[in-house]
Amino acid sequence: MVKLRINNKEIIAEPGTSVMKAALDNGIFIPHFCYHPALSISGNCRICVVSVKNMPKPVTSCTTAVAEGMEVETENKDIAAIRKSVLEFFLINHPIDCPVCDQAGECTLQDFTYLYGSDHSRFSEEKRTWHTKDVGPLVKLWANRCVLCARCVRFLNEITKTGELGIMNRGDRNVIDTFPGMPVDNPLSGNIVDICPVGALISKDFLYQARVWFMDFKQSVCPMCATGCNITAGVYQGKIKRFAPTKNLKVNQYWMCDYGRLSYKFVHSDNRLTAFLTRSQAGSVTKTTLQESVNILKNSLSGDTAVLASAYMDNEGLTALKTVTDKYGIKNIGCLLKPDGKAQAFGGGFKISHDNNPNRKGFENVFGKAVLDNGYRQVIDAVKTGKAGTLYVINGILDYALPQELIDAAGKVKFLVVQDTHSSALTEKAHLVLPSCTYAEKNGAFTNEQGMEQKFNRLIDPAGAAEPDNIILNQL
Amino acid sequence: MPKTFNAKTMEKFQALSQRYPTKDALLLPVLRLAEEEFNGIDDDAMELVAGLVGVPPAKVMSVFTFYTHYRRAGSGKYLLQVCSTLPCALRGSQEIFEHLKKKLGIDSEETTKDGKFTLKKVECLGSCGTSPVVQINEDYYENLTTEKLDEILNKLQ
Repeated sequence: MVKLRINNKEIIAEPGTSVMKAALDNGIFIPHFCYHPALSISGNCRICVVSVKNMPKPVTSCTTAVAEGMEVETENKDIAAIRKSVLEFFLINHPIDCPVCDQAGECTLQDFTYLYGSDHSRFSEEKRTWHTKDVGPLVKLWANRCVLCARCVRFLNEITKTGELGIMNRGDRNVIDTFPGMPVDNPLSGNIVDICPVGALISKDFLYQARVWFMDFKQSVCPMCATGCNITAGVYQGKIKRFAPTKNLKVNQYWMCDYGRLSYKFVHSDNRLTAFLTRSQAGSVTKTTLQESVNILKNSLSGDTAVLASAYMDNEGLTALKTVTDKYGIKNIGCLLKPDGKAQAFGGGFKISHDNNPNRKGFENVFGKAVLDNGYRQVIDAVKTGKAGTLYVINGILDYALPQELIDAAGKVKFLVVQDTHSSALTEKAHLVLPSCTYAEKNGAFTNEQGMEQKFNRLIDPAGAAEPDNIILNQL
Repeated sequence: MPKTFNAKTMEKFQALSQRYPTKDALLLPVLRLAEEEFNGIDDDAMELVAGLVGVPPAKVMSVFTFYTHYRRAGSGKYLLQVCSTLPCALRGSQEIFEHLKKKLGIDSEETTKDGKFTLKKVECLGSCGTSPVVQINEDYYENLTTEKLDEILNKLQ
């Protein structure tokens, strides 16, 4: 280990660590654009210069390795002057269009200019300008705002290994661009928007949706696969406006996939269930209450009831369900699973799981492997052969159409109860419909494929009268 | 239309690919091969090179557009590369460039209507001792004046 001092604070770092990393790991911030802990070192932005005792000139902290006895100063008059000059160059061709820029409020160029920049421009010539350009289905490029840190280029070379972006031309004509006909279209493309330190790469989905300083930021867990990416939700006026990954080196590093990134739309879709409903044998639908629904349900549950619960239920819901099935002596229990997808692995170890369910492990922990693997088949068979009097389906799987065999079989039971987040062919048949909360509307936890139980927070108010699964189940 | 190298160029490519330690290093001479075979490089040629070398097309494009010295597809019969870096500039390259611009009626990176000449301002040609320099196709013309240049152009058919 190497002992050094940064701003007079004694720091111990592994040999080979950069001064930048050693400082950041010890709570000392050094301004940077191009440095990113998950990407290779580029050393192009020059804003991270620091003074090192006995070195003739200031050095870039991201490219300088720690050494025994090194004495580093990250802030002083000389350094501030250099940063001011660096920023002056960055701002020569920058349009300074912060009032209409989506990055405003979370822009490092804005922040560093605030800290070190000049209050006026000395550039009186014409600015070099580029048109905005779609560079992919999710991403739009404002090249005028770019600082050419090449984080996006390195991400696409090193993490997705798809290499869609390059720095074209030379000198002041330098510009980020794609090869004609080859847009940035890969499962992780949205991450280049997150790592862009300025407003150059912008999410088309979030464009002009909300000023970041008016949003509430809350932590959650993405439910779209068993990886369980940690996410930060931006909420504005009761609506989720965007998801971005939260750093978790054990789960998702710094990234999330585009499918998960856009999955908040399922929470806000038009076909959410918002009321408790009963359907008479003749087919007429009546609105009812949680209490009334619970009473009806209590009277219809018995030993010959069959239950299908999904792996989209959180651990709280599953535990509550276990208590209910034990209490009523229900043996026919099955797991509704969203079909598997393709597992995808990326540079740096980020994975998209083949398992499209956030809580298969949690289901297994509560009901056991036999129920997880064989329960669904048994339930369907029992329903088809008329052995089940009541079928109680607790779904909540997002972006999924229930299997036709289930919908067909469900017509055969005397009493069909469906607890779900969205209306479906099954809720159209159900004698009792209970609206449930999505993960975004409740506190809970999923157990991801590594077996890690991850808590998620309520982001928004429930849709209409929707209740969390466990709140309903606990009353039975 | 996707492009392919002919057998002779492929042979040269195979030989080159043994000589260079990294893909990035191999990229430069392979772009030269494409330039020779197709008389200039277009998007299809870049895609071909990307496939052969094993790098993304965007990488090829970023290297190709960085260097001024590669011939773009659609260049004229004679590519006039006027060095515009400092030593040549001090010895009158701007005058040479303006002269050519006026005489041919085209700007940098443009081609005359008859397809004979393409004019291009380029970075250092590495012949500062004999500045100002214009490279016409594969040949250097050194210590130029506008008069000398006129003579040279008149000889080009």
